[in-house]
Amino acid sequence: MEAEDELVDRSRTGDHLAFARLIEMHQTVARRVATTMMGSGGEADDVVQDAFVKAFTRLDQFRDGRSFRAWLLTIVANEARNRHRSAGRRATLARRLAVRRHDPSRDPATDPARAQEAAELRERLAAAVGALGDRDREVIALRYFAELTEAETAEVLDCPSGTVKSRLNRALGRLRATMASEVPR
Amino acid sequence: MTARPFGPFDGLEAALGDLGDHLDLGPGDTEPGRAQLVANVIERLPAPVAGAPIRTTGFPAATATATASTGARAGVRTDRRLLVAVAAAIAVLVVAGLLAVTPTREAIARWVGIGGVRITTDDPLPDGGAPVPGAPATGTEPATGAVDLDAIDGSLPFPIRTADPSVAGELRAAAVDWSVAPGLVELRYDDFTLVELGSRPSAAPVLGKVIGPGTTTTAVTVDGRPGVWLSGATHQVGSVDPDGELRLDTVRRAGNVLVWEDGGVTYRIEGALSLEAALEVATGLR
Repeated sequence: MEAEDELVDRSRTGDHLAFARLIEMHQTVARRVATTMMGSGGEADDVVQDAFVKAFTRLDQFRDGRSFRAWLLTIVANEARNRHRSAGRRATLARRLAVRRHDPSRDPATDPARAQEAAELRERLAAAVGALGDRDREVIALRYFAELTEAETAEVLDCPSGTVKSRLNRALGRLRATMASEVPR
Repeated sequence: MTARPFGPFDGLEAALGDLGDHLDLGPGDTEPGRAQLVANVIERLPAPVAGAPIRTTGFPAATATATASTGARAGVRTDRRLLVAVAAAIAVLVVAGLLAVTPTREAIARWVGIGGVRITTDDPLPDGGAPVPGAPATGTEPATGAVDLDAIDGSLPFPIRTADPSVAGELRAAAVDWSVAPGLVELRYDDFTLVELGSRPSAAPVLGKVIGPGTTTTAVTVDGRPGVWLSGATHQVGSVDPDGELRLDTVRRAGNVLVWEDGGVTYRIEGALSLEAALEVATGLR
């Protein structure tokens, strides 16, 4: 596979095929961030598509040596925020996070009981993340769903790393509280 | 729900990482959906900036500049249909699982099809092959001296078209290669080789091109037909067997290449030509 910086370089010269490869490399994490910020069933695909088009037209602003993923996700996050604001209450109602349905046939080696337990945990955690405020969801999406480093997350959020740490701590604290408050039904 | 109550949730960060891998990202998060996103984005991208250089690493004599204002690129523009087709080809091949058969196949990351030619990217480029220009035929030895095209024209399932002598000079050699179905003819001129390959719209590509990271792929139009201009570092040509395997034993080096399809025939102009010169040859075929 080509190196990412090579693909970026080629994309800057107008090589659409090179940019197509960058899209393929990063579209899943872009979808994760957009979906977390917009909610499942929202306009995440439109956000991702618009973000990639904007990224291509702004490639001259990307600084070599930096993380392309972080730079791209900055555009994705901005796009999601803008759409979310303009959508208003409708968007708030649609922010539920969905988890892929557990399919035992796809992982037959796993003990069914443990797999079911893991699936239930995911459902509960997804609901807890979905109940967080916008700022908390955003930092959780970037750090854990897009797997950015704290420094990269700080770059996306345009804030110091220390601020990312404190935002993460607050968001994780809220999630722990939500998960701990659950009782068997 | 039978979930246990949670106390201190020590595995929270690991659980969040796991959740990220299992989020339902909607119908777009499927192989066709991902390819569709690529196609949708590519379709919306602006055309390459006029005047921007086309990468020509390793081919200083073949430097081409996409300068619309010169008039030399008249009729050349980015063709969205082709690039959308590129994404569709990627989807089809990924779904077919063709990328996970052998180490070589794993290295072949992306596929692009046009007419009877399939373009792949590979890094590093396999060794082997003859230098450009005027690469030899993949099978039979070419006829030399006085070339009697009439003798071979009727043997192919398509009429042979030749370059305008006032543009390309005299035809120096010709050969039919029957190892590539349904028939391929190579016409050799001083500065380039014109390859014509019968292609069936529904058939799998029968010729493969492996391009490395130093090769730039640019969508162009040739007389209104979508085409691809491969320029820059050398790439390789080989035949693809019915199972989709690239036969590297016949691989050879190729120079800058213009590929397009017209009327069931895939045309390739290979050699140390600029894009402008290749287009002049292409539009003058008769």
